[in-house]
Amino acid sequence: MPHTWRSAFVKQAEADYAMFLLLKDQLLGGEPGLRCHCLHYLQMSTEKLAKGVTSEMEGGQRPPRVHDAFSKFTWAVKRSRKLQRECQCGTPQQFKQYLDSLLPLANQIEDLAPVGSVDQPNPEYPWEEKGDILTPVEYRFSDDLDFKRPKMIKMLQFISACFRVFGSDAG
Amino acid sequence: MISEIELAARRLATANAESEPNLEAVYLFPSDHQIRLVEVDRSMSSSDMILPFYFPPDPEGGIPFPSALALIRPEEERRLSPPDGWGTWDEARRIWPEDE
Repeated sequence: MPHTWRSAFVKQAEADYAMFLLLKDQLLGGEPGLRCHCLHYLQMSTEKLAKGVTSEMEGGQRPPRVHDAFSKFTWAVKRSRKLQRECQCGTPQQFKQYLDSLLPLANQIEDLAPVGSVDQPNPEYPWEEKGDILTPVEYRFSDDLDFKRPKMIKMLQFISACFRVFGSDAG
Repeated sequence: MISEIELAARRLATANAESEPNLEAVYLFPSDHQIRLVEVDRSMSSSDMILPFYFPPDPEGGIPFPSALALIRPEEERRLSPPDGWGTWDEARRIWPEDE
């Protein structure tokens, strides 16, 4: 069956996320050089998921080229009662608090995307910082992006719930 | 006569307002097949476009229609163009808060 823009973006997001999970297991198994690759796939997956949901289920347009889709998505899905149930939050207020607590990390993941020629830490391309040229594979990213941290574990649970609600197998 | 879509939209808007203290207004844009809402929320970051997210129907949650939701800041109300195919601001109806 041919894809819509939505299903194509979400399908690719799922594939990126599967790659992320594979690499994360190896990273946590003792391959520290994989951190940047994990973050790269996580950033790409969340961006494509969010962009996919900006397109209608049937005959939707190609998602716009925006850089803040995932943070806006995390705001907007506060209103999804279906996702609220999937995240096992009893009330809309609890779900709002749950997502508000994840927004700073959503912004951090979103900011991993390299933007134009701006030099900033990112998991994909080398950059310059105070005269030093740095490379992602050797860079120590923020501890907030550590996959063992409770907030990150919660974020990954949220993303998994999003795939159950918006993913290619969602009913 | 209020359509089924508008009734569901009003339920959705009221539920959203109950959980979001920063919500100032909810607009319903016309559609015969989906709920199209723009919510004015002063806690949103500013943007140069209205970016809607499209959600599947949620009969279990009392919303039997597909829905689309976009969030904007108060100063963006009537300044940013509605998404393609949504019509104009003049065609939108404010459904929350309800007029006195």
